[in-house]
Order: sequence, then structure tokens, then C-alpha cells
Amino acid sequence: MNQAITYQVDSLLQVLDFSAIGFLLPLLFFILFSFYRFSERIVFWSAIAAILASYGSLFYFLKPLVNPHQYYILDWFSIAQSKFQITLLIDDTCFLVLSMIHLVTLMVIIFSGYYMKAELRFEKYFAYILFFFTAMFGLVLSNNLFLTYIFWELVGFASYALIGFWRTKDSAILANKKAFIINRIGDLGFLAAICILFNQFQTLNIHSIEVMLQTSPKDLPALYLASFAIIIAVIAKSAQFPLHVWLPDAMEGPTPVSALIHAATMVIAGVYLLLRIAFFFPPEALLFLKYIAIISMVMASLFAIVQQDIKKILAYSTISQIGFMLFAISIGNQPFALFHLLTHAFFKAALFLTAGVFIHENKTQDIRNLTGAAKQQPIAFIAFSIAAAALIGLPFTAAYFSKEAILFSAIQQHGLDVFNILLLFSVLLTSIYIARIWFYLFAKKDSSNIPQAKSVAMNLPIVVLAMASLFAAFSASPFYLQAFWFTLGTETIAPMFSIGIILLSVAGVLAVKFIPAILLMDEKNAIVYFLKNGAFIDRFYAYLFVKPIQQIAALLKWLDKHIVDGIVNGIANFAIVIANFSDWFDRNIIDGLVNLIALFAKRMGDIIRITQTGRVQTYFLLALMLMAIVVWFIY
Amino acid sequence: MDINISHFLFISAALFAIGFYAAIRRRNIILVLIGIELMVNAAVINLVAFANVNTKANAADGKLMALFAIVLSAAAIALALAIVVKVYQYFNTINPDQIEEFKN
Repeated sequence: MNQAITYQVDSLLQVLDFSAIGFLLPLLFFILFSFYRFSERIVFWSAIAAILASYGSLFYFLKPLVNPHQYYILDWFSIAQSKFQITLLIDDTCFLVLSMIHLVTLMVIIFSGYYMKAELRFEKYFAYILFFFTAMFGLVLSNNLFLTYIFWELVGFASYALIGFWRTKDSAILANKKAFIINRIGDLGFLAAICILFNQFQTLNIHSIEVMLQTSPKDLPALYLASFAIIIAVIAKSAQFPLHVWLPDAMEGPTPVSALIHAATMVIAGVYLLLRIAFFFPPEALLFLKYIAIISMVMASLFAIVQQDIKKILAYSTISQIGFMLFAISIGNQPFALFHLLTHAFFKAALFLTAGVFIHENKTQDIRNLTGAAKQQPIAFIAFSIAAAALIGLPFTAAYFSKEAILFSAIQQHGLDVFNILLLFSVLLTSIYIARIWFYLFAKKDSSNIPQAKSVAMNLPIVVLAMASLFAAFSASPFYLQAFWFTLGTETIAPMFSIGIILLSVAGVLAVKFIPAILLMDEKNAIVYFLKNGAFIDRFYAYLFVKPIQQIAALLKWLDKHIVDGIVNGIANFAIVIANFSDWFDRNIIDGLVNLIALFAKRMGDIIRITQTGRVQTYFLLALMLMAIVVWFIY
Repeated sequence: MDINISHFLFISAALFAIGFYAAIRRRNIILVLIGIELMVNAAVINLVAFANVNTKANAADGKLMALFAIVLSAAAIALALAIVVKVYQYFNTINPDQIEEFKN
């Protein structure tokens, strides 16, 4: 590792210069698109311009800072004696991941111009994408766990918003809720890890933790807890067993989003975090990670084989491939985990985008109805084939290097133990599930009357990403890794081993070709039924967590309705009774008294009015009589 | 038979009673006025009668008072008759039983 230079800065303005302004454009356009409506054309081109500007800044501003590594430390806030700092680390890893994110985002945005054309809330879609891009940018750059946590949440939110982008679709809303809730479990793990590490080291800067670990003795129980908590966070974010269930459902989102967020960038955040922080993991934690990785790989590959939905196959494939990266980390081969992360991002984005073309043109996700794609969309089909070859790990693709290197180092370290046999088994399964899609796409269609669109926005991204999946993107030679624009650990692979792996993969492809049952995957078969339902893990969760919670909720509702409402209604009824009595009292007693007085007055009046005849003579008589009485009394 | 003050008083009381009866009982308002005039005159007779039995220096006071009363009652009757004319023009009757405006 190169020696790092640390800068303590007072303000980020000391670091940034004019060429860094491109990084702010995506954020700016995100804010603009969130609040104002623009025409599709303006939104589309300004989103492209924002990513291109950011790309330019990446090369003109960030690239020169990579060698030697640089830390920027900026005081953030302090609580009591504890100081929190914004720490940015600029190094090779960061630069490689960022350039991958830029390229994939750019291609996805261009592709979205085709895929999301004339969609409602077009500008909101791009706003979410740019928001996600900015958050992911921060996540990659951050070297402080708390800052990372913030961006970790923000990318999770962007994922939530985009899975549920078609918000009138019930299944999409259920899927984004599921993704959100399951990611909360992981966030809890992350938060726990942050608390433990802060308690242990009084700092959250990853670099400082690394330095302190080298100089001071370790408190092992705390590190165990922290590493397991981190692994839980990674499992949720990167969709590993047993928290993988959200990713296949997340395919309800638009396909370019699946390519960007749920294949190439966000789900690898867990891997990236481990690359940064796995240095303090005790061996037991790494073993635990290895179990998780191998279970995820084999399980997801098995699920992928029986699916008929092309996006779900690719989603399970993503789970499996991320498991592969975690496996590489667990055996200590971190450089190649990073390398596989990059190659996987390109070929998986290419697979998703080409799948998007087939889905969009044929209006179906079922691979049995996607036959004839080779004829209808030759460019997309060739791009798909290249990306599929990369997934299998065939020569002339970049993933060939990353995959073989990880497999080789695994077998070199531990021989053919249970893990490695399962690993090879999942390699075989990988070639089977992807070949299955390929043969369906390649198959002839009886009648094809669906008009096929052809546009630059559709073809350019898949061609670029397919080319980025080829060996030339990373190595000068197709057969051994001769990296020319980045540095990795040295790779040594025995040629015989490589041929063995290729044969294993080809065997998988041939199995699909010659065993029709694999293509069909008849659901009446009990094993297929079991796998197709995701080994009933969803149903298991439903019975273990969802149902009880719903029952508790129902109980609370009943309590609310009968006890709380009963008390409230009782009080209300009591008040009504009181009011009724008061009403009766008012009507009968008070009114009675008033009426009685009035009646008395009326009777008196009636008596008096007898004299008021209106006749002059009567008045005269009365006056005289009155006078007579007065005189009588006076004398 | 010696004529003393009680005879005058009897005459006066009888006259007053007759006038009172006429005033409250007659159906013609002119006759009612005449009844009232009788009552006034009964009072005037009383005044004169008491003036005659008074032996003090101011013995003429009662007679003067009687003269005033006669004048005033004449004036009052003149006014009352004028009112009667108006009442007749307004109600087309001079029967007090049919004039019940005071009731309202």
C-alpha cells in the first residue's frame, strides 16, 4: 500500500478547485428536476451533461490526487469531548469504483431516454437517478463511518423511490416497502457497529481506526460484535442470504434502475464497505462471511435456474455474484474482490439493459415469450451474449480474470474442501442459468409481428457496456492480466486450472443445450416448485415475522376498537345520559317554572282585561267607583 | 216645614244620581253629556248650598266658585260637543257602546 498523505483542512473550498465544479452539477439538476417540470428533451440532455461534467471532474480533478493516497479531514461537529470529522479518502479503489459508477450511470441515463420515453413523471425519474448518483458518490468518497452511514441511508432511499417509481402498481409499492424494511434491519447492524467502534476507538474515521489497531492492543469481544454487526449491514444492503428476499422483488422498478442500482452500484455498497473496513475482522467473522457468501451463491444460482422471469434470473444472478465477491473478501483476496466488483458492474449492467430492450420491445418478462430476440434485436443479442460470456467467465472477457483469480486463490489456499466444491458447483450453475436465457433468446420464433424499435439511445449504452465487459477494458492481453490503467495484486493462475474452469462452464452450457428439462423447468416437479418459490424463505418470514406482527396489529386494533373506543364511547354515553337528564330538567322544571310565572301573569292579565272594555261609560263608572272607594277610605 | 241644608243636599244627590245614571246608561252620547252636565250642576248646587250656611267673612267664595264651575262646565260641554261632532263624522254613530276604539 502506498504511503498516504493526510491534510487537515478548515473548509472543503481549500481542497476543491474550479475543475471540481462538475461534481456539483448532478446535485444541482436533481434539485431543479425535483421542483420544476421540464420537457423530456431538456431533462434528458441536462442529466447527460451533468454526468459528463462530473466525469470530466473525475479525471481532471480527482485522478491527479490518487497517487499517493490522500486523506482530507475536516472538522464537522463535536459532542462533549468527542469530535466528529468529515473524512474523505481519495485512492485507487475510490477512483476505480467512481469511474465505474460514472460510466454505468451515464449509460443508464442514455438508455432511460429510450426506455422511459413518454413516461409520466419523467423528470422525477431523472431526479431520483441523479440523487442516487450523488449519494453513491459520497458513499464511495467517505472515509468516516458516520458519513458513510448517512450516504448508505440516502442510496437506500433512492432505491426505495425508484423501485416504487410506478407508484400506481401495487406490486411495486409492496416491493419497495419490502426493500425498505429489510434494509432497516441492516441499518440497525450498521448503527450498532458504529456505536461499538466509537466506544472502542473514540473516532469513526476508518483510517484512524486502522492506525490505532496497529499500535494499541485490541479488545476482541468488541471487535467480534462490531464485525458481525457490519456483516448484518452488508447482508441487507447487498442482498445476501438470509436477507436477500428484497432484491428479486425490487425488479418491479424500471429496468434501467435495476441495471444501475440493483446490479451495478448500490448493492455493491456492502462489498465496498467491507473492502474498506474488513481489516479489523477476526478470522471467525471472516468464516461467518464465507458461510453467508457460499450459501448465497449456491442458493441464488439454484433459484435463478428455475425462474421464467428474465429480470428475476438476473436478480438472483446478482445475489450470487455478490456472494462471490464476499467470498473473495472472506479468503483475503480483496484486490480481486474489487476487480470482480468492477467487471460484474459492467457485464451485469449490460445484461440488464439488453434484457430491458427485449422486455420493452416484446412487453413481457417471461423468457419463454422472448424467443426470436436474436433475429429481432441482433445488436442487443450480441451484447447480451458478450455479457453472458463475461458472467460465465469465458476468455476474452474481463470477468475471466477476476473470476479465475478468485477461484484459483480459493483452491490454492484450501484445496478442494466443502466450500470450494460448492464454489465450483455454483460456477456450473451460473453457466446453466445464463445459457438457459441465451438459448431461449436464440431460439427461432414461429411468427414475429411485433415492430422493433432501433435508436441510438437504445443501442449505444448496451454496446458500450458490452465492450467494457471485454478484456480490453482492463488488460492488454486476453489471456493473462496485464493491467494498464490501475494497479491490483499480482495474479498467478495455472493454465490447466483455467482450462478446467472453462470446461466446467462449457459443460453447463452444453447441459442446457442437450437436456430439454432444464429449459422447461416444469413447475409440477416438486424440486422446481420448491426452488421457484425461493425455498419458501419468503413464506417462512411471512409466518415467522409478518403474520405475528399483523396479528399483534390486529390485536391492538381490537383493543383500540373495543377497549379504548369502548371507554371513550362509555364516557360519551354517560355524557349523553347526563345531557338527556339535564334536557329533561330544563324542559320540565325550569321551563315549567317559567311557564308557571307566565301563566300567572296571563291569568292576572285576563282578570285585569275584563275591565278594559273600550267603552267610555264603563271607564267612567269605574273611575267614579274608584273615587268613591278612595273617598270612603279617606273619611 | 223648615228648609235647611239637607234638602239641598238631597236634591243635589238625587240630581247627581240621575245624572250619573244617564251618563253611564244612555245610548246617545249627547244624553250622556247631559247626564254629566246634571252631575256638574248637582255639585254646583252643593257649592251654593254650603255657601249659604257659611257665616264667615268669605261667604261669597262658594258662590263665586259656583259661577266658575258653571263657566268651566259650559266650556267643557262646548269642547265635548265639538268632539262629539268629530266622533260622529268618524264613526257615523254617537252610540258609545259601538265606539270601542279605547280597547285597542
